[in-house]
Amino acid sequence: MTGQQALAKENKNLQQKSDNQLKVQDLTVFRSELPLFEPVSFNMKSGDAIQISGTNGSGKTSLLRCLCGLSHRHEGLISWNEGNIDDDKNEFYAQLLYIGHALGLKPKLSIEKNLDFYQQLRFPKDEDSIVNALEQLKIGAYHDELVGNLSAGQKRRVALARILCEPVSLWVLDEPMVALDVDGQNWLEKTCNRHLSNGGMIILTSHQTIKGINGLTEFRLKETNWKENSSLEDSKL
Amino acid sequence: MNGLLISLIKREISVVLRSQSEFVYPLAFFVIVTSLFPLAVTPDPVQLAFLAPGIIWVAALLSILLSLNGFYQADFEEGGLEQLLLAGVSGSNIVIAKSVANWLVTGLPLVIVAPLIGVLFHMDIQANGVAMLSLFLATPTLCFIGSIGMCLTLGLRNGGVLLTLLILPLFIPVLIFGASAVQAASIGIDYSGQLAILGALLILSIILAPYAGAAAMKISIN
Repeated sequence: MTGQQALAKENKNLQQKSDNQLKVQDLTVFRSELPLFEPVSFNMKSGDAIQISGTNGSGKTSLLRCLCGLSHRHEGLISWNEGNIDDDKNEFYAQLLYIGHALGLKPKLSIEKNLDFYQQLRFPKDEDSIVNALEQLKIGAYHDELVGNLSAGQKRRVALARILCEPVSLWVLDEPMVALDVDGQNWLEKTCNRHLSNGGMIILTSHQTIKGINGLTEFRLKETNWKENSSLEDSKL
Repeated sequence: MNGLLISLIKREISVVLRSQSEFVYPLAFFVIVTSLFPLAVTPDPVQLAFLAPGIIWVAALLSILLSLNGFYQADFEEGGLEQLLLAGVSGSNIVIAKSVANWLVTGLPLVIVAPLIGVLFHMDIQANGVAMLSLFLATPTLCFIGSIGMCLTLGLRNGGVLLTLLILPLFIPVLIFGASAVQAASIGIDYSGQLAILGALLILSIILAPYAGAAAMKISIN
């Protein structure tokens, strides 16, 4: 398959579902009974991208984990296409791809086997898409290499290859730029843009300013002031 | 059994088989521990045959305990578990796949090696056969029960100690009935009752452990 055909196929895959909506209302995440940040609310529709930023420990990862329904340490409403994500998990998960700090790759399996497994959990086997993704990420030559032998940046590339192999509409990426070189970052921005123009949605966290993604809205997590209050109380004592 | 479960089991097995230490170690542990007893206690055939059921059973139980960690901890730390959940795989399917893989990789070799150890201990043929049968019925139970403890202690720093404390009490009925079946066979009395109870425990654990494990996993990942 030529590159162009692969691209056309990819676009077709992405277009399959392009009318989605993610609504977040007054969401706060708690850690040991205390809220991590001021409640946030936002609405996303197809084609929107949000960057969540904040200081270390401000709750970015916790927020993403709650959005994905992995963690339930939150208050507030998260709804996907008008339904609470906890009520209809399967419908939501069919459209979600989350890549976190732990990449979910098995170090003892080859790159191809890792990607193959995740693809076949939800989609029919499509070897071309995997080969194409690895080519784009310039790790095609290593497709038989064990993931455990790769560098941090290469591992990140393998995990990110899943965004091409699994055609879903919502990408939740936790610090996707970490360990990527300039080339990889450019690739990611380009791929994100294509996803957005095909009606996808992206939520990502990053400490750096990302200029290459069209219409990326930055969302800063505001720390709650219980920290100040509690230190005041401490000093009173 | 559906295709999803089979592909999950295949993946578990292929991962474990690639790290030799994880699947050879429990079996080696079993062989080493049991073969040290004749050296340390007594070489007398009569006494050895009397001790054998208990020794084989305790060693088998501990080596299953030893094998559990390899199936859960790394998967949890690498983010594989949460990716499976996000791909819509239910927690109970994950537990079933891991327990079945765990049994195929650790439990089944124990069942096969046990008669050799029995010969080493001068056990008669019938007792040896019952030892094999009782291990065949009970090692999957141990894998399933162990999975509950593993799911509860995922991500804890000293999970190993806690795991032992949590699941040993649940292993004890299996140990009692397993060892007593072999004991009964070696003195020539009826052992069908003990085997029936082992079978019942197996069915119970297969039915209940996946749900308990899935609930525990949800709490650990939260």
